Amino acid sequence: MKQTALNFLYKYGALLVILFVLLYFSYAVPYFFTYDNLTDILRSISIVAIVAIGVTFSLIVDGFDLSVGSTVSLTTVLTASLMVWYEQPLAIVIFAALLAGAMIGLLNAFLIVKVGIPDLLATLSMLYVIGGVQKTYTQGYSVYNKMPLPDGTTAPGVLSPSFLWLGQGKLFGVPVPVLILILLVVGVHLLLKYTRFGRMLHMIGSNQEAARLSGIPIYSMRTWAYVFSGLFAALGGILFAARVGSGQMDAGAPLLMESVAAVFVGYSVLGAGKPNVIGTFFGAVLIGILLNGLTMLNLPYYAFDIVKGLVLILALAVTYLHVRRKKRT
Amino acid sequence: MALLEVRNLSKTFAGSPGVIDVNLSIQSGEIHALIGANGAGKSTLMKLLSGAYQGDQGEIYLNGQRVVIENPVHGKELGIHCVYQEVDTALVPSLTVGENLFLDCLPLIINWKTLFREAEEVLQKLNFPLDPKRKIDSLTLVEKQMVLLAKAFMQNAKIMIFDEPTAPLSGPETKILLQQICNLKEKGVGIIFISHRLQEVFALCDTLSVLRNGQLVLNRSVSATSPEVVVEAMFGEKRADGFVKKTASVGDPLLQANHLSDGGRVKDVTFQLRKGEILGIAGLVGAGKTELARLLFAASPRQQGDILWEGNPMYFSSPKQAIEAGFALVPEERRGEGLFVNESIRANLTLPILKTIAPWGWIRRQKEREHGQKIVDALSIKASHLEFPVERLSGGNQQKVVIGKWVGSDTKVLLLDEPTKGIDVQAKKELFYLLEELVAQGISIVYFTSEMDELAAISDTIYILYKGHITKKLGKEEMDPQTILYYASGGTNQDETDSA
Ligand SMILES: Nc1ncnc2c1ncn2[C@@H]1O[C@H](COP(=O)(O)OP(=O)(O)OP(=O)(O)O)[C@@H](O)[C@H]1O
Ligand SMILES: [Mg+2]
Repeated sequence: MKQTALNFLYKYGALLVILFVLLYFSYAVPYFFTYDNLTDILRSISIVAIVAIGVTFSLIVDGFDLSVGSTVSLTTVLTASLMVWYEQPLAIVIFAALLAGAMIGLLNAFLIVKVGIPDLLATLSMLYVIGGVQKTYTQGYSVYNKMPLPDGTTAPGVLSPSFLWLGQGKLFGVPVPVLILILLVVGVHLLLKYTRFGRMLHMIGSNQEAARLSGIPIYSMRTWAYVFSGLFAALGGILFAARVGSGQMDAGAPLLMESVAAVFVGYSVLGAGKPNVIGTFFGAVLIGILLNGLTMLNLPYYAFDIVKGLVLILALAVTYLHVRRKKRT
Repeated sequence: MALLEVRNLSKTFAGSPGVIDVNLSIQSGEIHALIGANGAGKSTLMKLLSGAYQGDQGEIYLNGQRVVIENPVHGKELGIHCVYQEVDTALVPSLTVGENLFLDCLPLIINWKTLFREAEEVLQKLNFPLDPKRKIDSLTLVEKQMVLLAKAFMQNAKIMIFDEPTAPLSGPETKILLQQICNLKEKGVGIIFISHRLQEVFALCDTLSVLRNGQLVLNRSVSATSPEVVVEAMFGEKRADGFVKKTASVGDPLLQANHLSDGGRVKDVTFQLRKGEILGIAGLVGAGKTELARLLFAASPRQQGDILWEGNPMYFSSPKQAIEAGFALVPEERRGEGLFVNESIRANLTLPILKTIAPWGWIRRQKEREHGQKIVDALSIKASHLEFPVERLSGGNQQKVVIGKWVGSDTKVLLLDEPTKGIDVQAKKELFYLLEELVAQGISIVYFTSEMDELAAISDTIYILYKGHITKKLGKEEMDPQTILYYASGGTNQDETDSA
């Protein structure tokens, strides 16, 4: 009896919490449950969610990537500066940012897979290196249209309208970043669940030695996981620049924590018990709803970290308590 | 009055009966065997008694008193101790035998002299030939088991339960362990002994119970029954006699291994494998069988020597390349190296053939299920459905998954490292028939084991591995378990010295 109740909670708990929070805010905040506000929430979480998809990849192979936040920061200023300082066309800008993300992923993978540094420590170091590169590159300034340059002139370029559309525009009444997010969630879900590639990633995460002895190329597969992590962070960075219309310093710093929280909330969505994209999406939704609702309830922004931290603790507690319970029975 | 009595104990899982309505009683100083096919419910019953599981129904009495065992720690306090197969997890490898014995009750300030003296006393009382000052990681498996035995005895164990303790042991080691269990019996401990080896059950135990699909179907004193009766009870019907190998024709030479060394346990190993041959590699635990298997599979680096495939040198440096060349390995360590315990039976079984069921990268679910189901049927893996997580399978059924994974792949040389660990007599026979079928298809098999009777039954040729060296090659006519064991324990060749 107790068992079934616990299992039910584990399976549907996360979704029930989301539902409950939705209902509560709809009741407490009059403007909350409107189409505009709900799309607003989705728009606000789209970047975190995309970064979190990347984190999902690294967690699936039983790794971890702490450097995603800095990667977002770097690619944000990179995108903005390529347009504002160097007047590059959109295609090149996006390509360059994605390339930067992929290179960071490769470097992470090199440190972890080839050199053998534990994932947390390797990506922690990379977090600082990338953050430093970002600051050095912009000399500590944010990048915006017509900004003054060190030599006294103004920057020649601007963030083009078609670029800003990526972050601010709408298609069929749905914000573009939300559409991108949904496409990615569906695509990655199919990739992870129904392809050989995805299966191999999962098997590595489940038992690396057994995977190796089954002929899975574990080194290259783990490398792919980190490359995906970097790519998704870069995409997050591009969308960030497009959304705010400038390249803000350290834009990605808060995203690390939020995306990790989203992934761990995702562990318990539908009782998956392991990283999964659909869960990650709902995890990001939960965080988005909470932050949005609390803003409307006038909770001061500096208290938000407490809420985010608590959500992460709760998600981790559910996940690990479940692991322990499973071990005992 | 019985030391332990179980009345109407039941525990069911969704989809499978674990243990149904079992009645059992054990006296002090009795060794009681628990027997049953894979998945019959033996481990479940043991977990119920140790407190790891809670029964749905039924009662447990200790010395006539009803007890509710809440968890394994509580079970130990009551005097019920389990020795699980993974002995390593229960010991601290970097500490000495003495420290491990007293680990749960170390005082704040340790007086080493008294600690070792007391440890010595306990070991002597039990007649265990162990030095309390040795480090755990220098011990053999059976010695580690002894430490656990002594520890349980020290903590006033009244009941000790062993779940397949002899499965990973070779013949001589088994003898040692059984001797130690007898010593415990003399001290009045009640013992439950789970094993798939009827021989040792009949040699060691006083009484036996047979479980079938969770139900107790036979409960007798050992002297009043026979192996045939027990096997019939296990499966609910008479079984044809043991496995008899067909005289198969072995083909041309396929693989030649020359002077292989791994810089560690494997030393200068040379042998030849022919097409469709079952080649036995006999050796005691620690002889280097696992290391040799891993070396052939390129799971560990080769330091010296070469491997020729139909006369051509082969170069491969990873299991992936070995698999592409046609090798497959069933590793000895099933949990650590063979299984993906969190994944389903389906995902475990179809991993080696993903390329064929996902030609463009997209897995064809229908094909995948068909393949999985085929193997489940072929090896009679006992599970309610294909999506069942491997973690919840019984030990023997997990072993079948590890083997079944390679059935139907493009394997040409199958390396089996102790493949019958934990599987029941019937499954063993089925495995042998399967191997026969495989060699008939032209697959070659290298069979690494310390089970000499298995080798005698199935091999075409046997090489003896002793301390990393191949010391002897046995042909069909010289194969009997005693001879194999004689050479595997380091016996030298009398004939040769005579003629020399
Ligand atoms: N946690 C669980 N959830 C669901 N089914 C379980 C669970 N644990 C065991 N089972 C099932 O209960 C049955 C009995 O398992 P058990 O491990 O007791 O068998 P066993 O007699 O020890 O077999 P073996 O000789 O293979 O070790 C099996 O069918 C197994 O799949
Ligand atoms: Mg068992």
